[in-house]
Amino acid sequence: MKKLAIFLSGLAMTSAAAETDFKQDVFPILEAHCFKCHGPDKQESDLRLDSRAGMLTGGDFGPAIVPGDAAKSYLIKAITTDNVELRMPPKGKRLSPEQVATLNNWIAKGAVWPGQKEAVARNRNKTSDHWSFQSLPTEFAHDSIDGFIHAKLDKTGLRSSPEANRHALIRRVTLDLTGLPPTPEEVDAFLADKSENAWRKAVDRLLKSPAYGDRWAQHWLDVIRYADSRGYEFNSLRGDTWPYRDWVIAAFNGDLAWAEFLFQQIAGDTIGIDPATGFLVTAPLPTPPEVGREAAQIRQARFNALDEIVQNVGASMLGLTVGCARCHDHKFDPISARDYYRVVSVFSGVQFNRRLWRSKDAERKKKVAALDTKLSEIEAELRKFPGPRIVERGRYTDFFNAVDARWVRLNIDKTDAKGDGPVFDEIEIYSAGKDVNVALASLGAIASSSGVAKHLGGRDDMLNDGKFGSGSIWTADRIPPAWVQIQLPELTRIDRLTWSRDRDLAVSDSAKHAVRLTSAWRIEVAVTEGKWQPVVPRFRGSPPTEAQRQRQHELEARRDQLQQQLNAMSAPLEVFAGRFVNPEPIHLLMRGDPGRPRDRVGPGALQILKGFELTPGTASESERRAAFAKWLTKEAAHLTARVAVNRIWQHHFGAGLVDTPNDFGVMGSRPTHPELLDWLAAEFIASGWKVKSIQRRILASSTYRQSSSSRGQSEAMRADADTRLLWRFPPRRLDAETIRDSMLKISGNLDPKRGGEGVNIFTRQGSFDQWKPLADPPTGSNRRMIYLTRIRGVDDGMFKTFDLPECGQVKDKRTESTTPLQALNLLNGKFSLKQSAALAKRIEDEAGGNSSAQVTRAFEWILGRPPEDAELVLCQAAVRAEGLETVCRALFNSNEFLFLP
Amino acid sequence: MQQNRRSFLGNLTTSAGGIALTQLLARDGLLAAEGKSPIRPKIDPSRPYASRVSHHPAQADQVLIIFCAGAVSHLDTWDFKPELYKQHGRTPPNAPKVTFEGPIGKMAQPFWDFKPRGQSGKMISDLVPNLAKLADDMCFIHSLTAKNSAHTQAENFLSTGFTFEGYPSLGAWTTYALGTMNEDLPAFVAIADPRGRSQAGPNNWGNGFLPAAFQGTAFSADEPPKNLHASARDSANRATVDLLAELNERHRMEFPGDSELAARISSYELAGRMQTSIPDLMDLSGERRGTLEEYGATSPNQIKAAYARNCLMARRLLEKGVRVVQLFNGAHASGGKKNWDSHSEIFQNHGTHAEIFDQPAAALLRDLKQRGQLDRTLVVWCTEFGRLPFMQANGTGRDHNIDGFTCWLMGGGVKQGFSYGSTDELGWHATENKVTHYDFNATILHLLGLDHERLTYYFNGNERRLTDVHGHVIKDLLA
Repeated sequence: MKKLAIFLSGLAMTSAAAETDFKQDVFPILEAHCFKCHGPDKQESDLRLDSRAGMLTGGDFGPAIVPGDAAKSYLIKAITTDNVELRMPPKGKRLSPEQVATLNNWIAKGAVWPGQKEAVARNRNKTSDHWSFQSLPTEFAHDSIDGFIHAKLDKTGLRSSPEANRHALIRRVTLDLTGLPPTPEEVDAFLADKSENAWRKAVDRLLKSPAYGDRWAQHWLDVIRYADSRGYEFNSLRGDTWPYRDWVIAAFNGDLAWAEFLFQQIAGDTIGIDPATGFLVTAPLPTPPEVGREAAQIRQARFNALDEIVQNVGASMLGLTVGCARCHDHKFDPISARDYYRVVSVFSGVQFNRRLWRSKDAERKKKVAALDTKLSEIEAELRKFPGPRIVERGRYTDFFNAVDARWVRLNIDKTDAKGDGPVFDEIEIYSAGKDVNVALASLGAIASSSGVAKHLGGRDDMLNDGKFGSGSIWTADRIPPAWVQIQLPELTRIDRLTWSRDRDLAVSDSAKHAVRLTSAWRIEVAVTEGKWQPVVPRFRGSPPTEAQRQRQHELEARRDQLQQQLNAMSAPLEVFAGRFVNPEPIHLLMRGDPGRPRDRVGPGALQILKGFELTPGTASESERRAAFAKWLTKEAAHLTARVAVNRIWQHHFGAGLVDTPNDFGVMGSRPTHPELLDWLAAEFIASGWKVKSIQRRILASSTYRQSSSSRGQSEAMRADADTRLLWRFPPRRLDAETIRDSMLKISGNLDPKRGGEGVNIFTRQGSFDQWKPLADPPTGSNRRMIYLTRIRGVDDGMFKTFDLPECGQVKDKRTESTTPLQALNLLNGKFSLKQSAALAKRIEDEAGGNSSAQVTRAFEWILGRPPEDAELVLCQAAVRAEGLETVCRALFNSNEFLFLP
Repeated sequence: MQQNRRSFLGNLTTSAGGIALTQLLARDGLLAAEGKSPIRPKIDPSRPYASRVSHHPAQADQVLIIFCAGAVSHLDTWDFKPELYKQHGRTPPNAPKVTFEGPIGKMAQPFWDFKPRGQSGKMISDLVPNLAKLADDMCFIHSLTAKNSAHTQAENFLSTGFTFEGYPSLGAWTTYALGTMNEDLPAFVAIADPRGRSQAGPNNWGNGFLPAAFQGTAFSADEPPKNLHASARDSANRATVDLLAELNERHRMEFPGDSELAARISSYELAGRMQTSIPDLMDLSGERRGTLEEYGATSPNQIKAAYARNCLMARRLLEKGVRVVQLFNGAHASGGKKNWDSHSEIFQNHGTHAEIFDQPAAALLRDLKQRGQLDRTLVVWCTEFGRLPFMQANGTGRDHNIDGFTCWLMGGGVKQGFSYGSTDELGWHATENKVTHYDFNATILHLLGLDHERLTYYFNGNERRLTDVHGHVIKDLLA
């Protein structure tokens, strides 16, 4: 830059004399070199240079000129820089020094453009008439889902289908809401319920079932690519990721208001809900060794991480591809690069790491305190027993027959820490009968040792300075054998020695430090220097009775047990939900390149949605996030509500009203039923952002309850094969989780345990991403799939082919493919054979040996209906030839089982 | 397939009906205004792998990607730099103090001698003597550059055009567009190295956001695809399939015209055919003893023999019409032991890997050539980046170099015995005709008859491409 400045000032001097003529000198240069990309036909970086206003207004990266100040004008920088990526024109010949001087001089003189004297910078604020940015209407043509749907069908000459049969209905809604099929008993109960509100009761029962959260949470986790591993080369487990997954499940089950759902995921920590912000850090991310040690790559990696957060927020909550504005203003949507960096700035203090889970950790601390109290009580009681040694937490006392001593030595034979020597707070020696600590330095005693760790700041006199606790500790410079010794000022009769370690329990409370506790020791005394005599231990009082001994043993056992519990609970409880640190300053980055910062940008939100921008450096890290989170459901409410109800709709009908649920921008699909979407969004907000209230409306509609058959609807099939107009209920293949969990439930093998750390069915071979399914599935591997550890990109050999997401990119909907590999897995996989066999056995227990009863039961379990006569005949023949297992296996592979009816 | 999975309009096996169509058109219109409009493959849901027409006449119908994982040193193989001998032992000029793995050391000359090869006289080192004999068939690109100096991200970049996870691989894009030539076999096969998977692993053959039908199927000569056969009686298997067919046929009557259901039924038929076609393909017992020896399949070096079997299987896959075969050499990072990543002891490590790689790979290429298979098969030899002209501080290994390195092509549609682009005299930075992976992949697609700007898939707000928004076909390479 310095070079450039000198160069420029030189130019200014040489050409100052010449008067610049705009028309003759300046315009031709601009016309020849700039207008092709920054003119009427093309506006690269949203910049036009064919008018003074255009120059003043500038593009994605600010104004092109500052009249009167050539050095500050971006135009001059661009045509003079040596940086190949920055320089203009990007290709071909550079401007000659004379041409540069001409432009330089022109700007220096005020950039006069004849006829455009009054031109000023235009407001670059974005406006849009795109539908999703418009506020919600308050009046609607209809007041029910069916009203909107039927109106559109009428318009296109199509008609809706009759209500589905009750077998199909209960199967559909149960799979839809819980991801599991109804049991035969649940089907029977629904069929038997002839009351008018039978349907509503069934819906209410299912919405209340915890299985509902297990199902609907996964839809959300899909969007933000939640997984338990890091991805990339190492792909190791992050650990403590599951509390976020459980939080999402609980949020759905508890019908947490959507506004709150969003707020907590962005700033839950501000109201004491720590796991919720796991949302911010779900993306895969390379670890530092994978980034390398080059500064530029490290910076780039940090901005990539921040970009992942912006993508999560933008796609899942706003339905916008905010990330597209990272390198330049969004090509299609009214989102500027500045908008992008405002959002980056909101999250610039977020690190992909764990932090304390405060509510749980407070519980832990309470439990620890309670255990501590119990332990103290036991120890107090233990102290009352006669014995030669008292062991208290942090304090150890040996009693011995009174003996005269001038030197007292504590020999350490062993510690509990391998490879580390002992540590002491203090050594106390008591005079017989008088109970005075004669070891104190203040009384003239002198401490020495086999060696103190001087590099840690230790000194021998810390052994007898009368100070306990971590501020004054003596640490050995060696592993045992070691010794410490006190030289008393005069020959003294003594009968007791106490040594202590971590007496104030500062260290043992935290698992991070080894306690380095002495576990075997001996005491010696000397009257003459060097002539050591062992001391003779004695009981305090009389020797214990048998009853006392027994009680003592009991107490000791209890003490050890409590101590073990305490040890197990010593680590603070953490959650992988982002670590929040001081935000780094954020600048607008030229072409997204961290090496090319421009203006500093404050935290804020999208301008098109009345977004704010705070002055850089004024708001704390958490204030930024909280402000953004509030904005989401206040100023941006009309968009977030639309995006939310569309997702709900999507998972009931297989496709959203907007078929691009992560993109409500110009490039996204238009809603098939725009008014219905708006109406639902308005109702959603009015209901207090209650998901279940919208779901109740959807499920109550005749649109949801109509048949999925295409029989007699050939006209509709021709006109709308995708069923986007909902002339029938659109059938669709079950997803991987539903297929697997259903098979487990039907076979009786589903493990009902919910929540907590995931069960890992994979094992890692070698040190890198080499996960393979375990040959013998571990305990818990038959829990619902959401409770299995999700590792990015792995192949379980069974369900990956059923479009399980790879959890790399944010994803609004699963692909739905049909491949021969699916067929091979489902037909031949160990899992299928196992469940088929288990179900056959279950049915034999439930239905006895009659093949007709067996087949009927198999149909009821797998398809939720009894077989038709022809089916019965077919299947009975198969049972006779190859056994019931074969029928179960065929039914598990059938289209009817695999499709939502 | 994605947008219109249920369309089944008589002969119009795909295309778009109703609303979806208008939306697509609107979007396409937008794109057309930007430049080129997308060409969407017409995918019949019941036959996702049916062969489809290319955008323009293809030079190659199939592609074999030989991927050497860990980054092969171009300076010790294909890119001869005499200046390195002069500079040997000196402090590198204008070098950063720290490169990817750490502090740098002194300049180092190639560890193997270079000799002129074939008619073209191309200088290739003794590290790869067998491949060197094919110099006259190779089409070198010496001026490749990568975007990220970490293996995984660079592998992702090479295979998917993005350094991030979750984008479709070249093989997925290709089979999405073109289907395959033999529907009885997977359209896209990824053959892992006998020592394990490369660092980006499945992302190299992932479908990303494309339908799962287009993900690569991973198997090797020693590890067949999963669940090809059930551990049940043959009669039970047959009965299951027969009963399933009957049940599905009855169920289908409720859903006339519903292509998804038809597709699932035919997927079971195809699965049945794969149960014989894949074992046939993997059975190498019919290969001549001489062939096995030529490939190195009889080598006492177990890894080399296993890799040779993979090479043989690759040939058989291509012969049978599999569209994309991705053949890996080298697994994950392991101090240079299991892949080419030679941060230390490059002489030993590269030597070990070349011994495994060179003979089998050369035999495979020769075999393809002799059988005339090379005329319509594009071979892509690639590695995620190159290595630096100077040592690391340890004095025995070379660190990552993303600023200039070599890959080469062979076969269908490319020039023979040709070299394109160059690095500076130290082999450090690409100087002449700089090439990115975008250009590289654009060129591969072009040879397969695909326009990289029009092979797109809408996802998360964009018409996504293998080449992102970049890439130019390198016309100079085309025969």
